[in-house]
Amino acid sequence: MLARVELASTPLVQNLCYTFHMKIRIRYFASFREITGLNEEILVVQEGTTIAKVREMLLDRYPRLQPIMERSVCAVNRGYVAAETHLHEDDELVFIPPMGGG
Amino acid sequence: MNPIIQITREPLDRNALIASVAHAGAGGIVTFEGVVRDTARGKQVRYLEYDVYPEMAEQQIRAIVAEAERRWGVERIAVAHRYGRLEIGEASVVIVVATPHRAEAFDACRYIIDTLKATVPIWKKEVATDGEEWVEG
Repeated sequence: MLARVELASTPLVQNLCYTFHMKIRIRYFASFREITGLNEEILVVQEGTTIAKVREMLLDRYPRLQPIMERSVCAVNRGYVAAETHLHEDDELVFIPPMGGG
Repeated sequence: MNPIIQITREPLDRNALIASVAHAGAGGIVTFEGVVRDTARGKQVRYLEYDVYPEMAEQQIRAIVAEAERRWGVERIAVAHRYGRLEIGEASVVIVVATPHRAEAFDACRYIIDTLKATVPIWKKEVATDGEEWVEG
């Protein structure tokens, strides 16, 4: 996705710059769903953003996630990945708190 | 044979799962059934609420079953996990393994439940008489 950013202090001819953005889908389960009050949301982030960056954004938005986020791992497109992983357009990101199946 | 994998809100049908893996060459069928109990960590549990990331859970269970097939040469496996609200005494998980001889069936079944608990994205909330919390394990 191409987003236009307008810079207020520069003359009109120069005040367009283009940065690439992308959208990712985040799905929330268990304690994450209860704290955010959401099943999922679409985030628009800078292209190539890492999961670690998205985690920071979410902690800003939902400070109450802090304790559970520290104990969670992450999955992209249904597979476990490290927090340093770079994201791509339309990725599905899920933070997975300690599991309790069985 | 393709494994039978179910992730469902409906009560689990143990007998139907056993029937689905039984075959003429199976000399041993091992079933593990996880059941909701009424006490945990000294608390009186009223009921459990399971949540699941269904697409990933199914994929993870499929990978666990494939590994069990590879390690023990098992060909007939069924895994069913329930989610939503479960009352005391209801089954949350049923695993059935059928093999020619018993040792492989016990080992494979044990491996599947232990690995499922550690790696499949399913969560459990204990609703007790004095409050509720998401619990691990």
